[in-house]
Amino acid sequence: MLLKAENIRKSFGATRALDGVSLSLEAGEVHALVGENGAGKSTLFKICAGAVLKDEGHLTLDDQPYEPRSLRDAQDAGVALVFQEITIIPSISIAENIYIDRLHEFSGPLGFTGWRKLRASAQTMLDALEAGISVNQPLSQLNLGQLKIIEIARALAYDPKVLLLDETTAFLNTQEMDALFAVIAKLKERRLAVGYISHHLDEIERIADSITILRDGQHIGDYAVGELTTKQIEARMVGREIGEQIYPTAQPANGKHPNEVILKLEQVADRERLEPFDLELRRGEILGIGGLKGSGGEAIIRLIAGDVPLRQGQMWFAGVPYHPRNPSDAWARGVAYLPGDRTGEGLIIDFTVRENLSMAVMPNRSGVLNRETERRLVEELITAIQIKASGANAPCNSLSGGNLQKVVLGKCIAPEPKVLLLNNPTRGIDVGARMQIYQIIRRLADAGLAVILLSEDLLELIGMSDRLIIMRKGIISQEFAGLDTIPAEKDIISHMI
Amino acid sequence: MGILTTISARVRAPGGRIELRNLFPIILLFILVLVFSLMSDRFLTQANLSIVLRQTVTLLVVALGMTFVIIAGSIDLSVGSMVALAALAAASTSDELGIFAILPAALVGLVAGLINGVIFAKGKVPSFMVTLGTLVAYRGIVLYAMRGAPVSITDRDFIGFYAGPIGPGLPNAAIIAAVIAIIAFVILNFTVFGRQVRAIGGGERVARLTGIKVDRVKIMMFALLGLLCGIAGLLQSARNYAATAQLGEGLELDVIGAVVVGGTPLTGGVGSIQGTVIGALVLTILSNGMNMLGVDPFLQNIVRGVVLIAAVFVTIDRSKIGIIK
Repeated sequence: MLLKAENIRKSFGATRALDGVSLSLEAGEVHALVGENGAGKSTLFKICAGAVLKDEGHLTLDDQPYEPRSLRDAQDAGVALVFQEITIIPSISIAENIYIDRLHEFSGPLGFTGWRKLRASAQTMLDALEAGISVNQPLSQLNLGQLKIIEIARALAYDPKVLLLDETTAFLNTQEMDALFAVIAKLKERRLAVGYISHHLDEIERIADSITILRDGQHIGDYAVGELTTKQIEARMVGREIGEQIYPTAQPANGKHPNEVILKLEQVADRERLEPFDLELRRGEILGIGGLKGSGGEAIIRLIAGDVPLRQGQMWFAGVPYHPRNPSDAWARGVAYLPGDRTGEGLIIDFTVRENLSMAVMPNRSGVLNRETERRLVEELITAIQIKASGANAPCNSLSGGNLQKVVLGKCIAPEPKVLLLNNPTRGIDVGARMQIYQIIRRLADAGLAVILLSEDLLELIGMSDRLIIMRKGIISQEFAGLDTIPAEKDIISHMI
Repeated sequence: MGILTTISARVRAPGGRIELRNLFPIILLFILVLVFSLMSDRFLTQANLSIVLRQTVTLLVVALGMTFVIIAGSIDLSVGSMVALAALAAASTSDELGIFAILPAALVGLVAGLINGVIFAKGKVPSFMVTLGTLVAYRGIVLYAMRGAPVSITDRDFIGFYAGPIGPGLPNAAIIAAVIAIIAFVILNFTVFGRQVRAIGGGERVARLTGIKVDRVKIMMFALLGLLCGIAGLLQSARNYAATAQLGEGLELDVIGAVVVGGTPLTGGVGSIQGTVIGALVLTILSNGMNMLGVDPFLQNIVRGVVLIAAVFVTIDRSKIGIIK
């Protein structure tokens, strides 16, 4: 029993992230942690690695009490975590990133850094990962997968006994993934304990020995790999048999909308990654966009939202040329945008629920705030989308993630838009709130709203989309039209990579 | 939502608990008044209070405008130079225009503020740098135009209106400042513009993505500050009977100090007009009281510095700020 966590509890404000969760990692074993978004997987790893402090519970390392107060504490004790987010500092070199807080180990007698020694040692770490990255390359040349490899090298440079990998493969291509799995196999031989978070159960079956399932911060169970089928694992993750029922079916009001095209893009491209493409969006439909991060889906949405400039092509909104110079133009025309970063782009955390909900309506009314109209609008929204808050004047920092997202969604629909752009609207949200959000989106579409749903969650895309396009490296690699032809996950993935 | 609830919402933490932190400015003001009135019997006299009000006016009017800029997360260092420009405009036109010299003064301030705002918002130059530049440039215009000779004001109407009434009564300038404070309060709390200023300070990217015309709001708030500098310059010139080349030098520090002592953090997003009123009074009374007690002017600076840091130390909400730069 190398690393053991017992009865861990952790709350963030009103949100209970972990509610009595246990985990034990054995030397020479790969232990997978699975669960839906927001189940508490990352939080648990962060607690083990000292990045987050637990509220309650008990940690031991090699049967000794283990109380990491910081990442540094954990690293010194032999526990290293590779974060889900990219944590590379772009303004310094690869070698410096790998030895970021240990540069003093390379200083010579006069206190100067021994660059040659530093680079040599960093290169050794990278070569062990067979990454084909040279420490002399500038960071700007590397893709996300390569940055991830550097982070793994950084974690291994601490010579850890326990290595925790949080969604590390999300950014990797097949080749890099194979290399990573080879490294993990070697680490197993060296009797390291590896903790592994991934959404891809097939990966887990490939490299993990045992599985812990979490759901909404609860510990569901520990299993050996092979003990459960994929379906059984999923059912335990979600809390019921996975079916279509968490995704509402379309019930268009007044019969089908007559396929009226509300938004039309012709040979459109942005200044960065998008190749020229065509796209049509009809009233009443939900158009799903899938693809790996950075493959262009977000670029399409930001283009339509007026957040990035058009490089070429032509857009029409309800038959009229549409060229938003900034998001304000887009909102004025009836295009609402729900960004991917809830607290950094979606809402102002220091504002009250009321102030956030009315923010998109406000610019259209000049002069004096009509508090009475605002109050009525906000109350309607709170009831309609079931925001759980102590009141309209509750500060947003007291709300849970799911409710925050509902506030952002409420803000977007307050001006009664014609097009709603959603960037990962359910990221990190528990199942209950997700289902409510799905229902709201579907209800809006039934009422004639055109929706673009960008998501990294394949099941969500399959469950919600009327039509689905898949992006790969800035081009639309595949379109699936019509509900009946919605394909299996594997088919979709093959068009992403 | 009445004015009282708006004010009390500032003081209360989530859950309705009154936070001492938010009451600090008014407590500080109370303590200062108490200490000075115990140590000197001249402090709490009508004559001295009238002087305090006269001394506060310029600082307060500018600080009211600065409150918006700071809430939005920006800064304006050029206020002292804008005040001097406006004073010059007022002084040189007071003979012909009398009390209507407020028009050129306000216009000059407005234009100077607009220039700041446009360079900042459209040119995407940090407000700190823009206004550091215009601090020097606007002062340069004043020096160039004056050639070292102050422009004195002789128009009786002008002085009578903006600096009067002479004696221990309630100065007109204080009434003007109070009216401006009330208007500023209404703008911040009851207009779309006020809400947008707070939104930009609370999350500029959020504000932009929600369709707020961020550039326009930024330009408007710098123009508003310029306008108020214009009025402040006029009032100051009336009090001095002249516009001098040095008028308003170093004012930006007192102004920023007044806003911050009033509980508006430089990190943006939150802040209040009533806090700024108290902050301006605190700084003025501190000087006035120490002068009355005959405290060495050099020692006074030390005390003011300490009070400023202490105010931020007590009022800052560290739970909301991850990194302190």
